[in-house]
Amino acid sequence: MITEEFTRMMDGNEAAAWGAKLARAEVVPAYPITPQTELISHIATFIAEGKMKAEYIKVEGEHTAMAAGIGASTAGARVFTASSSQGLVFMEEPLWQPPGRRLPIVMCWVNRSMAPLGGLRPDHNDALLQRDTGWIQLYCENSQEVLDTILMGYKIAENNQVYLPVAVNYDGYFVSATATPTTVPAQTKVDEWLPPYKHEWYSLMPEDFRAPPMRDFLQVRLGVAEANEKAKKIIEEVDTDYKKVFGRGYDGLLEEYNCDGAEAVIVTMGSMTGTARDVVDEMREKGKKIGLIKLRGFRPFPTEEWQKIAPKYKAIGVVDRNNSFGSAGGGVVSMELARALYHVEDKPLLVNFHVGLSGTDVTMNQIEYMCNETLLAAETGEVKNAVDWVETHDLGEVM
Amino acid sequence: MNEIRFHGMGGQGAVSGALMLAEAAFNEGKYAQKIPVYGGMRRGGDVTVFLRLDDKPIRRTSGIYEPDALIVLDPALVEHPKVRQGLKKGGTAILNHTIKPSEVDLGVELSNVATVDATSISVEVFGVRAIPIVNTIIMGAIAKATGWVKLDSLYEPIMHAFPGRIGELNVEAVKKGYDAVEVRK
Repeated sequence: MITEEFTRMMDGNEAAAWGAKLARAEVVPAYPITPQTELISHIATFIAEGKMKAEYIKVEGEHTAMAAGIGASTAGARVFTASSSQGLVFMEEPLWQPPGRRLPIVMCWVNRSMAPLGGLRPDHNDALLQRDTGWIQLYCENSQEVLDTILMGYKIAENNQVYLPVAVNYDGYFVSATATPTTVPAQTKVDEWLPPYKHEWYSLMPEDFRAPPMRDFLQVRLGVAEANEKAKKIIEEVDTDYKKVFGRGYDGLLEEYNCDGAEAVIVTMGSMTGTARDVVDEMREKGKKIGLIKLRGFRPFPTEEWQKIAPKYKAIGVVDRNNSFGSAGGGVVSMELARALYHVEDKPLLVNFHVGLSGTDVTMNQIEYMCNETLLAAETGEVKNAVDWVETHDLGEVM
Repeated sequence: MNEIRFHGMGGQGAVSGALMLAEAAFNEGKYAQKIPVYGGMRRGGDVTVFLRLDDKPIRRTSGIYEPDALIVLDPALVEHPKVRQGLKKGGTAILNHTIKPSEVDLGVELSNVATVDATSISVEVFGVRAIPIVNTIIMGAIAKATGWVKLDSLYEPIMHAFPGRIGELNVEAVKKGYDAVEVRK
């Protein structure tokens, strides 16, 4: 068994499997066929080769995967599973159970676009559709962040002030199949940092049978709402602590990148963030006052943090890799942000972009275009297009 | 940053080949990133892989539209306009083909052209297959033509991906590719 830290080229799926293995997940119920990713096959291999001690339950569909996960988590096992797009939506019905039952399941949502014409490639509609379920949703930029976020995910989920399931999101292809150098920490170090799972509210032992009462609908809902609020602070704390121990941190729910003196910022989630870092750096060198905000946590939404930082900027361009058809205006993230800033004095203008839908590439050119449009709004005080479908403009190659 | 684009058919090993090259470069102290692009079908479908090598961490995840280098694993793809699209002037091309490097015309002036008949070598090493495995042969050709990685840096990634007999055959293939490639700079 490998116990020392090592670094290898690894794609997001393999990194996620290492995350689950290091966290010593005990039960992995999963549907192994499309739209499932290779992540589950990596875990099945770990288990088959005796490298990971866990019960792998190969179920007949995603619905059952979650049902089995709920049972196992209630019985005191650390549960890990994964799904994508139509599979995640097929899981929708039992997906509402873990938050209300306060079960700290950690799951990867490998973001892939929805039908019709959806496929292996990413957008965020599959995950954002779960907006109201009560799951914590974190979005990762590369394989390293996936591995780290799974470990953090258990620490957050199993905190007795939180007790909520955590979804670790990462883009199909651009993270799931993209290999980058990834450090796998030593098992002993992870064991020290992440103690075994023990739910304080549940015990299925006959001599000490306990379970939280589930009679009052309102109480259950208030509990989930309150836990989401408390999770904001816990997510920050876990991130800080992780950085102290493992040397890598991600600024909790929201990261401001190259924002000093910026008049406009663009907001990204997931894999496109890396590309945006390069574009923003290049534009900064040319004297453009643009910055980048990586939204890492969509649930809980970091409202207070947004309210604190937003007045620094004249315009915010939200990049939505999703659609909400017939919405109040634009994509899901932009609407969320609009509500967060509604009562803020000196709030910036909001520009909204749809891009990278169904996994079309988000190119450097497109990001530069979005930065320039947001800067233009900051300069003129006017928003040209409240909602801009970037792919309808010819900005060069897309795949 | 060195931006490299691979084109192949599913089954030839473009994805795993690019990964082994990335691992070799990483083991030599460089940063690397591999992004594969393919559809729902695997064997026989067209496969594109983007590979970036750099001295600092690679952050962008977008595709490569103006590659510094083009690697083509199947002779039939060389003529395809989509394959040669965007190749930079003064760039590099390494092709699985029976023609000589001096006969290669990709419509742009190149500083480094190499060809290797990887399909024939594949038959020699792996036997006749519906889709010849050429990736490790091309990796050997790349090592010689470009110096992006040393030949022996490729052995560990190969043996990691394919432990045992299959790995040994591929190490043999990578050496044959290295020896057989013709380079025109």
